[in-house]
Amino acid sequence: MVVLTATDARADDANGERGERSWHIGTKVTTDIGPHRFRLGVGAQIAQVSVTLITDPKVFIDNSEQDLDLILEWKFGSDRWSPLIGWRTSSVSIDRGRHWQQHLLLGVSGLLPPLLWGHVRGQFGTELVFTTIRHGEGFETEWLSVESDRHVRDLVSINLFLRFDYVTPF
Amino acid sequence: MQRTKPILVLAVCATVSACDERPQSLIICHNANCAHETNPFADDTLASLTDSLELTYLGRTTMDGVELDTIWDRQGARCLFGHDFAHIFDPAETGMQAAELVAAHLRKPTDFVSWGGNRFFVKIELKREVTALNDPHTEEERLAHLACAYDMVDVLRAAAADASRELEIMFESEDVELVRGLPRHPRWPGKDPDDRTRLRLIAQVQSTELVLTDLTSLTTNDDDDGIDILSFHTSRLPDGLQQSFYALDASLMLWMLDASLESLYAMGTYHPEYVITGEAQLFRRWEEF
Repeated sequence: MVVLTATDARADDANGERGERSWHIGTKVTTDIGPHRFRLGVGAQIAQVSVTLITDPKVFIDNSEQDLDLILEWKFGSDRWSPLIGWRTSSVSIDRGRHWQQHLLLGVSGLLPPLLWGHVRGQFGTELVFTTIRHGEGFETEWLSVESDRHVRDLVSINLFLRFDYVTPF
Repeated sequence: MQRTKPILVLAVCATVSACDERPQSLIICHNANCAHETNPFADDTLASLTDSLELTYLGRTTMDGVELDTIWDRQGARCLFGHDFAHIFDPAETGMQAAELVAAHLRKPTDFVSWGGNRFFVKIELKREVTALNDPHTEEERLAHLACAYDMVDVLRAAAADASRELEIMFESEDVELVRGLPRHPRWPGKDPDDRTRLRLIAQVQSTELVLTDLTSLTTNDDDDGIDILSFHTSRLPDGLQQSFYALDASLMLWMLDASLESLYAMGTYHPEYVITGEAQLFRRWEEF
């Protein structure tokens, strides 16, 4: 009985259901072919709000493409589902400079059953990616325009993702 | 032992840099509109075509070639230069006017009529609709539209001959039967009409009018009248399907409305022979990195 309770407590910690403070570090896998498909994330949850930074560790040795996501999630209601909002900064190397793309992320994630005796939290979700601003050296800054379908069609995508995080309270 | 780490880091960096060698696709100016920020409403106008042909990078013409859209206008019984009936200017611009502008570009006294130098590519798209209500061609209109395409070809070939340019002209339509009608037309000169000109036929991979026998012309040079190139849009097809087309080892043409990260992924993954983009300068600088 004691063991079961302890396991449940760890599962609650992993899923952040008790609104405690916790760190998390893990990986994100996405169907989005824009950024790298396998990336690492680190973040914290305080009460019902979770903040995560996600990037590809390869950026430290390869600057051909770099992506950095900042994700905010709110765990409300049942605690199983969280709406998310985020911002992704991407840049690609080009001759004599870099070209930048700024993306707004909107989505929702759901918790999977905890893994490895509650130490690992799994999440799946979907996110809409709006390429909002494009800019760079020698280029006119372009904002997302909704004047017509052709203006917007290539700059919005919908993707699925999976995240697995090791969670520990602090 | 301490010296090992920098050497390892250098080795990894060298490996990664080698992996980042960029593909060198031919950059074709989408809808004759690639000199300014993306604005589909300015597609296929003589003004945007003029600016695009003048676009340079490091002293050379940025693009390798240009796409010209033609519309058969039922009401006026004429061949227009334009993307769709909602954006036809008054007075309307014609396909022949667009061809003459490109011909003038080919005749310029320069060593770099395109990024590659002396070789220029023109993609002529034949729009399937003949009215604002998207009515299809009648047989008579179809023949007239094909004749218009051949009039444009004649103007371009004459300029290429005058200036000793190499010229590749490609034809595409959402209606693959329009493209298949080109080799059946009495004015079809063959795919290699002279030693400086090449004609090629394109079909979109999603087209339901593609048939199994198209594989012959796509993967070999055995069919003189068949489809030569598959065009695709990377975010409108499942990635697995794109891998299947890539495995065919056919000539691929990537097109897009805007340069997204997905487009760059497709460039690096599927190495298309051609890329159709409204952001020629960005892709040129990306390729030259």
